[in-house]
Amino acid sequence: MTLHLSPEVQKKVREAFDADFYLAANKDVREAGIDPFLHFLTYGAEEGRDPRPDFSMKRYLALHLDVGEAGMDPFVHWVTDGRAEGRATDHGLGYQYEVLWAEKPLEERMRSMRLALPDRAPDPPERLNDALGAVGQRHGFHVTVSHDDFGSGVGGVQLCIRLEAEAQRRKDLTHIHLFPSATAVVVDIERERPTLGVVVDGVFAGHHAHDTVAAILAPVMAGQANVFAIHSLIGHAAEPLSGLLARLGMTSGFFWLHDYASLCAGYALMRDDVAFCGAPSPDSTACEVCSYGRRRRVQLPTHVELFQRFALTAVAPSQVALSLWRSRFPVRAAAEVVHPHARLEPRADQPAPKVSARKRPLRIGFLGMPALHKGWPIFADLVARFGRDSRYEFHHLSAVREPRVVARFTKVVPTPAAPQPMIPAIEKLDLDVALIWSLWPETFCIAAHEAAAAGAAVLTGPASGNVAAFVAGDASRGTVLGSEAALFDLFASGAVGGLSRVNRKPILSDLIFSGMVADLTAEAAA
Amino acid sequence: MRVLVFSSFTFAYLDRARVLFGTLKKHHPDWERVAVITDRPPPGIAFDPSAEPFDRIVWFEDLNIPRGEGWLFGHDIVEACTAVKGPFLHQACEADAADIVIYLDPDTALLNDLSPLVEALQSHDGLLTPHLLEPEDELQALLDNELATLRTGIFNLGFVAIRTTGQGARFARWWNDRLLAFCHDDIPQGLFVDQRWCDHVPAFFDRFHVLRDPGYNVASWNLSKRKVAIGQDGQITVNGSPLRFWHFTKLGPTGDTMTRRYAGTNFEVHEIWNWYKRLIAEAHDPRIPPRWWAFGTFDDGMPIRKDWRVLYRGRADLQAAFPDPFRTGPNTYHAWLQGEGLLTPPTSVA
Repeated sequence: MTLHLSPEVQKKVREAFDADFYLAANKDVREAGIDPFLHFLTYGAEEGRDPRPDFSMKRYLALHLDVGEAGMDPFVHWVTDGRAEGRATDHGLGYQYEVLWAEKPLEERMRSMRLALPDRAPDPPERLNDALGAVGQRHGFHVTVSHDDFGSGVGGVQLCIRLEAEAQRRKDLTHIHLFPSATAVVVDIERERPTLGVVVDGVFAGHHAHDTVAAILAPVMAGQANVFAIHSLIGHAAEPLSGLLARLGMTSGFFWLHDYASLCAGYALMRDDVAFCGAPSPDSTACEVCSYGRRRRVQLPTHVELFQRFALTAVAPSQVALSLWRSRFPVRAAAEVVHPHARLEPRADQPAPKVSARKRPLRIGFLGMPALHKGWPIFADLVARFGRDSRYEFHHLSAVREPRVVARFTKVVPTPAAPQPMIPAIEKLDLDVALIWSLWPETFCIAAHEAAAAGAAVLTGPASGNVAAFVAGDASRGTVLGSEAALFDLFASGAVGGLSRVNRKPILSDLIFSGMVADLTAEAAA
Repeated sequence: MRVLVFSSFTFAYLDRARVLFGTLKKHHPDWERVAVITDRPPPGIAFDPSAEPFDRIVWFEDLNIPRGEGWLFGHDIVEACTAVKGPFLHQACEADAADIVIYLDPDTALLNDLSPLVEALQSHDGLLTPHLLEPEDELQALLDNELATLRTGIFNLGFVAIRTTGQGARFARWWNDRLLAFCHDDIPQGLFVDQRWCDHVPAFFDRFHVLRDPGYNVASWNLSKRKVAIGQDGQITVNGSPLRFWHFTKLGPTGDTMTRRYAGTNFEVHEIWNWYKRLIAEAHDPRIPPRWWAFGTFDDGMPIRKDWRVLYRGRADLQAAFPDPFRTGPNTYHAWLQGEGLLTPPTSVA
C-alpha cells in the first residue's frame, strides 16, 4: 500500500530518509535500481523496512502503542509529530533487551529451516563411487565431520578442516568430509530421512543416505590406516552418523572443541544469546528459562553417547577451552590435547617504523561478522558514542556489512587465491586497534591472532576466553580491560591513544597454521 | 503433609493455567492440583481433563453456591473468578481435603520449589504476599504502584496459603462469606474484588504471616525494587533470594510496557518473560475464541453489559422474579430489561 502524503509532509519525510542506508540495507532495491525513497513510500513502509540506521519501524510501534492504534505509519508519525514531542526511537535498555525483544524462538527458527530445506532424495550412489574411483589407491582415509561443506564456508572451522585435509593429504590420506545435507543450528532429531553431503578430496560427491555411504566406503576403507575427526555435530543425526563411523571400522578418533556445542545447543554458551551462562547443570533454573535449555537436554547426552561409543581424543585449540569443557562435560575423553590452530612467527623483514608526518585519528577496527557473541553491540555502542569524535576513526572489516553502524566498511572475503585476506587488509588500513570484545569464551580466535600478526593492538574484555589469555600472555599484543565501563572510559579520556602504532612500534608476524589433527597422528608408513 | 494447590480461571485462561500447573507438577508432583473453572467449554471443543496437568476440576456448579447462576450473573468475569476462591477454600477446609491449601493465580508460574511455604506454615496459619515490600522512590512508581495498591489492596491475592485448621480455617470461612456477598470491583465503595478484604487480615488473624521474601510473587508492580540475577551456578535470584514464583500479569503490550518501565536494563527479567511467552504459545489452544466466557452472554449469545449485572445483584426483587437471568424469552430478566428500555447493545462487556 502506497503511503499517500501531502507534498509538504512528503518533503519532510524525504529529508529525514537516509537513501544510502536504505540501499545498503536492501539488496533487492539496490539491484532493481529503484529510487529508494519511492520504494519506501510504495512498499518499504508497509513491509516495515527501516528508513534510516537509527530508526526501527517495529520498535517505534512497540514503544508508542497509540501510533499503531491510530493506524499511522511510524516513520511519518516520528517526522511530523514524534520528533518534536521528544518521543523515543530506542528502548534505551541496552543491546540485551533488543536481542530478547526481537527473539524468534529456537524451535520456530528450526521449523522454518526444516520447511525451507525438506528431506531430499539421495543422489545416485554411482556419484560417490565415481568420486572414490577418481582418487586412486592411497595409504588410508581421513574422515572429517562438520556442520557444513567446508569448501563453501568462510569461517574458522572451515579453514581448519581445509588445512587439516591438506596436511593429511601430504600423508597420503584421502579426505572424506561428511556434512548434513540440510543446514541446522543444533543436532538433528527430527528428520525422518537425513542424508549426508559427501566431499571426496575437495570434490563434492553428492548427497547420500548414511547406509549408502557406509556400504560404499566400508569395503574401500577396510584394512587401511584411517583417521576420523569430528569438527562439529551440528545438523547431524547423531545415531546414524555414529553407526556409519562404526561400520567404517572406526573405534577411536578426534573431537574438536572449536566451540561448546558438545555442552549445549547454544554453542557459544550465551544464555538466550545475551550473556555467558557458564554451562550450569542442564536441570538448573537458568537452563529451564534459556531458549536453548530444552535442546541442551538432547544435545549434551548425544555428545556423551559419542564419547562413550568411541575412544575420542578431545582436541582443544586453547587451554581455556579445554579447562572449561573438562569442568562441565559429564564424561572423560579418552585423551585430551591442547593444539592451537596457529602461532605467530615474527617476519624476517620488518617494515621501517612509520613516522607520522601529521597526527591522524586512531583507527579502531572490528574484524569479521557483526555477531553479538563476537562483541558487535559493544563496537556499535562505541561507534555511536565516539563516531563523531575527531580523535577516532572506526572501521569494519568483514564479508558482511551492517549498515546500522556507521563505520568505514572494507569488504574482506577469503578466496582460493587469497585465503588469508584479513592480515593484509589490516595492514593496508593501518589499523591501530582491533576491538575483539567477545562476550563468550573464545576457544582460539583467529581474528585476534590476525590482528596481532598485522600489528594492531587487541583490545578485549575479561570474558573473552582465549582472546584475553592471548593478550594477557604478551603485553605487546594489546590490553585486557576489566569492564565495558573501563572501555568507554579509555576512549573518553583518550588514553586508548597509547595503543597507536606510533606509540607501540609493533613487530609484524606471519600466522603459521598448524596441520591440525595431522600433527597428532602417526606418520604414514612409506 | 497433604498439600493442595488450586487456581481459578475460565477457558480464555486455560493456556496460562496449563503453564502454572505444568510448573507445579514439575516441582511438586506429590501436591494435589485442582482447577476451579467458572465456565463451560466453547462449543465444538472436546475438553479432555485427563490430558490436562491438573488432577481434578471443580466446576462452578460443584461449589453449590446459593442461587447458583443467579448469584453468578451478578458478577463480571474477574469478580466471578475471584469470588469462587472463597467458597472453594472454605469447602476444602470443611472437607479436610488437605492440611495446607495454596491458591495461585493462573498467570503465575513456578521457577523453583515452594517447600519453604510448607515450613512457614508449621509456625503460622496463613501466608500473604504484599504487592510491595519497600516504599517507592520515584513519582511515577509511586503512582503506578503505591497509590494503586492503596486502591486495590495491600496484599496481592494471586497468592494465599493457609493451614486448613485454626485461623486458616477461620480465615477461609470469613473470606467465603465476604466474597459471596461483596466480591465486587467497586473501588469508590472501597471494594476491589477479593483483595481489599485482606487488608483486614493482619488485624483479624494474628497467626497470619506477611511473607517478605522477594523471591515470591515477583511482578511488574514490584520490579522497581527487585533485582533479578541469573548466576553461572544456574540459580535465578531476586535481591539475592532464590526466585520461587513469578506473577506474569498482563501478558501483551501493556504488560510489556510496565515490565520495560520497571525492569529497565535488568534484562534477565525479559529472559523470564520470553520463557513464559514460549510456554504460553505452546499451551495455547487457538480453537478457544479470544475472551471466551460461557457466562458472558445471555443464552441467545447477546453479550451482557456490566450495568445489567450490577442492577441485578442490587435488586432482590429482580433476583426473586428472575432466578435464571441468563435466559431469554418471555418473562425473563432479558425481557424485563427490554421492557424498561435498557436493552441497548453493549459497548463493552464483561
